[in-house]
Amino acid sequence: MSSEMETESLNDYNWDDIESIPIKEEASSALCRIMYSEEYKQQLGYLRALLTKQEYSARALLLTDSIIDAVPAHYTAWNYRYNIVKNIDRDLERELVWCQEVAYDKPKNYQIWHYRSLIIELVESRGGSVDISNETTISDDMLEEDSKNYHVWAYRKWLVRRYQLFRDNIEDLTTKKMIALDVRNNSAWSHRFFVMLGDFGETRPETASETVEQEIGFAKIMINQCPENPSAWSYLQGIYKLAKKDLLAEKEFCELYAVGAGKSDQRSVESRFSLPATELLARIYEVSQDNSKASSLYSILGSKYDPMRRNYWEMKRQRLDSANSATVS
Amino acid sequence: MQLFREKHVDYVKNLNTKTDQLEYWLTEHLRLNGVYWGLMALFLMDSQDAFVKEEVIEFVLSCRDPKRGGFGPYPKHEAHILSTLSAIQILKLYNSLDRLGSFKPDLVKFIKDLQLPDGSFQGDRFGEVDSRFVYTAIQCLSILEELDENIASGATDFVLRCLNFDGGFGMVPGAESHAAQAFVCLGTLSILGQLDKLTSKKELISSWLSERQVANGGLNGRPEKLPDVCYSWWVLTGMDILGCLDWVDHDKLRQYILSCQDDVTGGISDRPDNQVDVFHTVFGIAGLSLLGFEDLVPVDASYCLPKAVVATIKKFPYEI
Ligand SMILES: [Zn+2]
Repeated sequence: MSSEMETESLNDYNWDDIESIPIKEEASSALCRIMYSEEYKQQLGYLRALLTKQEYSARALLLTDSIIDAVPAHYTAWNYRYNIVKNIDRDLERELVWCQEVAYDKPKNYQIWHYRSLIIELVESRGGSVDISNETTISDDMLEEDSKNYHVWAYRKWLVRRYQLFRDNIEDLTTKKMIALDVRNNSAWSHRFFVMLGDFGETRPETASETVEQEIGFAKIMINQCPENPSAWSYLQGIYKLAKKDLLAEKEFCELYAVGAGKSDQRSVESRFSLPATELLARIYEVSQDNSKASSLYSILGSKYDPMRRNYWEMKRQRLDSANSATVS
Repeated sequence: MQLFREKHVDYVKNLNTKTDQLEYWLTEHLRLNGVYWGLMALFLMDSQDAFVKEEVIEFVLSCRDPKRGGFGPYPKHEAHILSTLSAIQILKLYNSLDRLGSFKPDLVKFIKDLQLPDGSFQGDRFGEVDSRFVYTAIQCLSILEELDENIASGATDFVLRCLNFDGGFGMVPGAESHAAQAFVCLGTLSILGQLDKLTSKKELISSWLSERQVANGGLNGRPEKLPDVCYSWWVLTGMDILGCLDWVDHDKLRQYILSCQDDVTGGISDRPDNQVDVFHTVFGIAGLSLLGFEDLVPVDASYCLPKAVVATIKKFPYEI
């Protein structure tokens, strides 16, 4: 239950004027009827009646609170609540506090984040402002509970875009911290890419190239810690693609972690084996026309290291071989 | 292990008789979606007669929101694009779109009015934007054969902006890659006949999708997340659309889906030994159909309708 339910109850309001619109009872044998179910059914009946009347009132607001508490994904209730808030003189500060409590209470509830952004837009459209650091703190709290909560991260990106927080110190530190806690947290990598490079092309060229170098360095440090982590390798390759840089520069780095490459043979190969490193190295061999090396990597990936995707590796190998024979003939 | 076909038919058939259970009311806001999921599961098992056609159609029509023109998930709920698609899919499955009658113009207007200037669609007046809603709206208009150039190019631009550096698609531009979003974005492009816009990125996308298979054979939605039966659908469809379905191990995936069946009650769950539900039941069965197992009715990856039904939909761009 959220806080307003503790101080206020639906029974504090008069519902005599409302004819709850009941649901047609379908052959209910009522063997295991649950009390709570009756209560919720009645609330749904009220909701239908109030929606029909388009009533915007304090009791309607409370009703949506109760229904959202029972069913967080009830989008009709969310939609209705927003219209009520807009139409009655609801204190938006209080509404934001309500949002926060619902979020903490039901971390999996995702509609809350869109709703919160609507309330913030409403505050600002009325000439008010919100404390952004408070928004950061709330999403930090949520991510502490579930570091991969998709909708909280999406909300965070909404904040970055709306308030132009690209390369902001706090976003930088937060993503670094989350990656340090779990280097395989793909959500944190995705956020960092957005924060650091989401406005690439709109910034000054110096800023862009400085960021690119810095983030390549960061990705490689993280790869050194966990060479098999696909998120860090995607990040590295994403930067190269965005900045249109030549991946050939990373050939030696890949050789450190790829199977079948000279350098890693001196190490304990199995323990340092990295699939993304091997795949990238094969690609580098391919673009630098070192086709036989590329082909043997694809072949060993399919037969030994990644047999579930053998058809993928086989396709790559065959394509290479046929290109090979085409150039020879 | 095999598919417990009859048990699943019984499971779906009995869903609507559970009105005395709390669960039934807590899912009221998804009722129409649930009817589509159940009916589609039955169609794939060639057992659609387990539902009474006329009753289902009556229920669908009773969910219409006369003020907005679309369909809500339950009578007297506000119209939403998700429940509207379920309504249209159900009518299409029953070859009964004519039952829309004079409601059709308002319905089409409801859907088209949800499109925003950037080409995306909101789900309803609440304004939530999600590439899911783009797909949903585009499929609605496709089945109704009411697409047009303007809507198509806006939607195409938007879903292309949802493509990320790693080869996955996000909920909105910049959002983390997620397999469910790959399905809706690729489904949109496929329905609109715009797959060639992906050009050189097709292989990266296919590769990202194939990386979703984990050691036990199941598919996950994002790196390092647990596998889940519904991803059999979200991931496989994208691979089927891009023509690389064989980049994952079919036998291992089949075993995973079958291991999520409840051999007593029927139905399929997200992971072995979890509670079954109709959502995972239909997407588990649809995944098996896509892989060609169990002698199921062939399913279309872009629409999640039987191929035979999709064959009757006019292809976009329409010939004049
Ligand atoms: Zn699932």
